[in-house]
Amino acid sequence: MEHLGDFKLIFTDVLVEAVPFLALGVLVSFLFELFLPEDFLRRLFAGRTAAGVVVAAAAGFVFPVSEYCIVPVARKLRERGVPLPVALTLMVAGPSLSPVVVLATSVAFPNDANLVYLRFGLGFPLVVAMGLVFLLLGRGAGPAGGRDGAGGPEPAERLRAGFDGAVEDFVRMLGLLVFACLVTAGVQAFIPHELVHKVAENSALGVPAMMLLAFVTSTCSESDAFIAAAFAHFSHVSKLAFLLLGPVVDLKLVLMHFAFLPRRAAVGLLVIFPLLVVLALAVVGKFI
Amino acid sequence: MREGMRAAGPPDFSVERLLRKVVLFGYGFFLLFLFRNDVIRHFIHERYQFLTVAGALILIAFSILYSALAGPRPRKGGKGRGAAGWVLLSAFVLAPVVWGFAAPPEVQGLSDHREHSYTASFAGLAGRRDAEVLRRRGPGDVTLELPAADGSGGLEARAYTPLNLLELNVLLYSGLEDYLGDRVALRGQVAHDDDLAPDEFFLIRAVVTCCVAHADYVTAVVSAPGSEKPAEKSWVTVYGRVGEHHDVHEHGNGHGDEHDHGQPFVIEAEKIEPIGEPTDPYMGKWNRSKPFRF
Repeated sequence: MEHLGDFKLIFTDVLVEAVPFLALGVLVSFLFELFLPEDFLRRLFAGRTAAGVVVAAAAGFVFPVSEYCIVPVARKLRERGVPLPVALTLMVAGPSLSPVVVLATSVAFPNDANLVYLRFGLGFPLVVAMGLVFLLLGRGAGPAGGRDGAGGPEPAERLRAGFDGAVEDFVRMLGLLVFACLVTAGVQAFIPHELVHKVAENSALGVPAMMLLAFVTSTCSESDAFIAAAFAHFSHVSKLAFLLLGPVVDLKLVLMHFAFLPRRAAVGLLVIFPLLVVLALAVVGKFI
Repeated sequence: MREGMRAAGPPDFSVERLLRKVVLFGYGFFLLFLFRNDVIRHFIHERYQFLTVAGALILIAFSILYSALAGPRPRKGGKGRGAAGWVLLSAFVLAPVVWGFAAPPEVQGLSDHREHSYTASFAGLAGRRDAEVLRRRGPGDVTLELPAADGSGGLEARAYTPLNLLELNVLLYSGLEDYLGDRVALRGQVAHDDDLAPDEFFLIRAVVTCCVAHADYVTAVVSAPGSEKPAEKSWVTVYGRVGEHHDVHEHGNGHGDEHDHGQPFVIEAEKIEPIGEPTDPYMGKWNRSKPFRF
């Protein structure tokens, strides 16, 4: 019975935390629909996808966006003609590199500046690498879904259609979010923590274990550093795995990716990014 | 009438549109409802609560605009969702809001104390470390008349400095030898643990870094020989002296962090006083200039 109380508490908490960001994301994507000329982004990124990936990754350091906010924005950008690798890079860069995450990580590791530098020093090239991999694999390298400027609907009609679309998107994403929160709260409330931590602590493979923990706990990127810091006897490499993967791929986000991105892109993200994290840590781990 | 322009008229009515309006308004209103009795503090850190307000206002504004704008023509090539699908989806997403209004969330602690751990990561939350706080006599000090230590039967006055568990850990982990013998007053929740000695228990407080779902705990081992251990999960104030914990199991990783059972200090209780559960069982402060809540 008391676990049911925890379930309600955690479910409400995660939902209440995420809904405002979702609303903000849908508002931003609606504003794009309203004010961004239809073929502006398509012309901007024509033949400049690789540069666009790097710029999108750098934008993550500037904009304090959460993972729930950026998914609808990335989707809208894609509809407006932004190549998929660029849209995905932006979607991943925001939660991974945002100023709020930088601050939280520096507070969580006050005696460990190296870990802070590594999180973002590795995070940036990882995000860029992911975007470039998508570009090389030819996953929608060119713009898709961008509408032609000529002969489009009247502005008033566009406003109504855009607004209706935004509301529809919000309700759909909310449905996914509610489901994802149910799963996350269930895992945290009903699965004994000792079991989860035993798997993470006793496994000889610290990196995959911490990555699994990041996926299952679905911690928001503003607090994951404190969770990682609590695993005092884990290596820096394992903690980095937790910190690098969590903002990009977790239980909640995977559901949203599959709902709002092309299926191959969602699968690609789920497979490629963790692989890149493991590869990066295999190289860097020798020097930590 | 120009081609492509919809005739002016009352907004289209449909069950789907009505339900979407209800979803928007319901969530917006629910987010504001959480500010009632300051329950919101339980879920969102004070620093981020403005986002909750912004999100609520956006949703309420959306629901009003949605009522004002006429429905568009069906989207070209869009994946249609039948009315039944929207009704089901809307009912699903509205269920938590209905549940939240029917059984409003209350401030409560998590039942599972999870990992008891202090790490250097919390030092950043405690703010500036006041190394002299246990040396100075301050207006907040609590003076108790307790049986004299020499067993003479008389009473002696002892002054205890109130600290919260986070401050205590930050101080003692910075140099335990400097504080041995100092008297402190601490508040927290009791947690029993089989790995501790029979007359020992953990005093714990939950620390919120961003939200209660990801709360973590700071602890102190309290030794209370000769007195009955307080009940698990009860709230107490412990008045005691800082001592060295001799039964230490270190799991250090060379970075100065220690696992809970490796806590090098113990609070030798001289008095334990039951107290009521605080209105907010969680600690969390980002503003380093303000004193921490006791």
